Amino acid sequence: MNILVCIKAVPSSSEVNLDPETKTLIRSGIENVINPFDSYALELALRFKENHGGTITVLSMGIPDIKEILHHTYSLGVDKTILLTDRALAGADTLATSYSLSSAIKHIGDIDLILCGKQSTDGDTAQVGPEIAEFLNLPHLTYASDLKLASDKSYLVVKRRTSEKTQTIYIKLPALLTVVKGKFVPKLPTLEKYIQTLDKKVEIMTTKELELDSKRIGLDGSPTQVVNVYTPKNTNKNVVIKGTTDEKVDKLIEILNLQRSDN
Amino acid sequence: MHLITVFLPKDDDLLRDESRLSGNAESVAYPISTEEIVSIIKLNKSKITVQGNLTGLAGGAVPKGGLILNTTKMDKILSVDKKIVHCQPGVLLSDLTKYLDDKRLFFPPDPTEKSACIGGMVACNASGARTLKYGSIRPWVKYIKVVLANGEILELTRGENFAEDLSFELVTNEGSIIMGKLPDINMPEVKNAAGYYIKPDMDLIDLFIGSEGTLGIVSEVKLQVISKPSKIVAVTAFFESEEDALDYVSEVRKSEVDPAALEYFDENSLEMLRNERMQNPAFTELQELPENYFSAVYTEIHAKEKSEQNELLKLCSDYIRKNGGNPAHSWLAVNSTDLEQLRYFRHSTPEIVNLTIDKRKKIYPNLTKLGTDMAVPDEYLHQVMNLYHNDLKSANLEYVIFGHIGDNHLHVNILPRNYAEYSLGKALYLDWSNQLVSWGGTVSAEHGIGKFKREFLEIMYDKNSIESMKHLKLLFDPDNRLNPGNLFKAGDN
Repeated sequence: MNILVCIKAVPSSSEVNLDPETKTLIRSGIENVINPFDSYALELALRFKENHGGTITVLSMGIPDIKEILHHTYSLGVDKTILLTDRALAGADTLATSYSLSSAIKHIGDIDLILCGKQSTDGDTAQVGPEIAEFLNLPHLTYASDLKLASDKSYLVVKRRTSEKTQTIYIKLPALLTVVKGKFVPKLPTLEKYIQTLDKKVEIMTTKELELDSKRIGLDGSPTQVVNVYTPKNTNKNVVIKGTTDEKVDKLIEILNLQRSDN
Repeated sequence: MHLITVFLPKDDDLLRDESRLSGNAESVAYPISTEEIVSIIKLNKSKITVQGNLTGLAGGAVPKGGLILNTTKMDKILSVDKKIVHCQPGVLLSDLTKYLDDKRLFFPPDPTEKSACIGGMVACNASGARTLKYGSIRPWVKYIKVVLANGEILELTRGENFAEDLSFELVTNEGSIIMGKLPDINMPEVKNAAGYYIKPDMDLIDLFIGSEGTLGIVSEVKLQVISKPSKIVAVTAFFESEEDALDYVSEVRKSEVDPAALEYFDENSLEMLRNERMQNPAFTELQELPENYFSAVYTEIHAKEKSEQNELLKLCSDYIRKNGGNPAHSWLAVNSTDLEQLRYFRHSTPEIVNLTIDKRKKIYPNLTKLGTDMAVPDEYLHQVMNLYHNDLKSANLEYVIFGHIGDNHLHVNILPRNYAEYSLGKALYLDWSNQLVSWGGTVSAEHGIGKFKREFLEIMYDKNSIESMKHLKLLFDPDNRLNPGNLFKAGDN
């Protein structure tokens, strides 16, 4: 089975700044890492390959600087990495991103399963995975935490874990899943694999190779724009209640009563 | 606002540090400047115990009556210029690290306890995992301002004041001359934090670093920092036997790999990590340990650029393979997320030990872990490990051995299951001290002597040497007011 994992490079630090003009993240000078949800997706792919064989291709869209992050996935056991990069793609929102990525996936071809992280830790939209599936006209499931090949090998058995419940769902291949944290801690690369793959190359893909509608990519192809980004004010207050146990209980009741009358 | 206040029950937390020793005090002061320390010392004629953030493991900051002078409000970083950071003693290591990180700077000594403060680190010549490459805090301290017991101030800049053989002379800012002779002692040639640092013709700033606050109160410090290494990577390699792991360490530490840190996990540590990972939700994020390996070594490598990093990793891989390890089962971290995973793995061992002891304390309230802090010269690494394992196995004690193996500085942590085992462990600790000192080792490589390990200092130095150290203290502190009970028994002078 050929698995394709979409990954995104996100800033490792939560203390990042925004460009005041474009309201997009200033990414220079900050260490980028694989979006944690994407690393769970990659871990599921690697474990699946361990059990069933096949190949893993990693695809990302971003600036050339993130090549190193893609290359790093070779040391985890990935077979091929592709970076879709082009100035024309800059400033894309989720729709333009998923349009571009789905075009790249069509171009790559022969993919049985696409795995994406549930969402990125910088954008937090959780839209790109499902949108890619729609563009490719594939069945998809969100919140996947584990997967197995069904005895009828044209299906996957997917464990789906949402905040309310866990479901087991059969999905026909080819398909797309967005992945949440499951029971597996993503494995670290091994020293041996790292050294063996030092000379492997990250394949670069640009808009030239893809038949893209120029009105549907980059900033121009993005119907949504970030107008403002701000940190919500935390209005919760911590109160330390002091005194004897009786005094503390009385005080607590008083506070709770006050809140009830406020509401 | 009064500088000195009466000790109240709310100050109770100031009576103990991480050694779990407990003391008492009559008054408390939180100075914010050198001038306030001088005023306090002149106002109050009682004994003074200087404190930082109370993270010490040897009871150095535990008061024995008198006044507590707590420096945690002296927490200002005053300036950074030409890679010299000028700061007050109460600055926390975590705050300093964050401050420097933003400027792409790096303070190489890496004491494990990030909430330790700079003053405390100077007082006990702190060290950590990266001491292997960068040394302890000592060489990085370029200047100190010290308030002496009489309220006069001494400023010492590295490279400016030297002893002549063992004779020395220092002049305070007020013009007083302190003349004397340094004790004639032989310090072990290993990483060491036990007793005063003394060498013929020494730089006299070194006398104060590691003196545990017994000679004066450090009120300002200048630290040398360096540019942050652009590549920090690490490998945790697993070995089938301890012998293999020790052979790897002996080779790699002398090689071009030039490890910044080499940290060890023995069979019991790995077993404990395996079990906790399966049973304790707090440790489920640990990496799955490969089976059939009985020891592990963490190797941290600093490089200037990627090509150098990769060459060093290849070399490291060769040494692992040559000594029976398998690079295919060796974890690698080349980015901050993965490095964090390896550090989490490394710090989990002492954390699990502490959790285990906390559980046992419910039945035996006075039980503590017994943690050693001894180091030996390179040639005794294999012997010291055999000594530990043989004695602990014959005594049927539960234990783990982990820590700074690059400096032959392993932490043996004994986990006594009852008071009888505690006594048994303590006796072993004393036996080992005698043996290790005879091999040219030290009884304390990084935690200091404080009040907890005074009997161990007496194993390292003979009576005359200790007497001459006490005389040295009296030269700076004639009434024995500063940190009484540290290094020597209180009232001994």
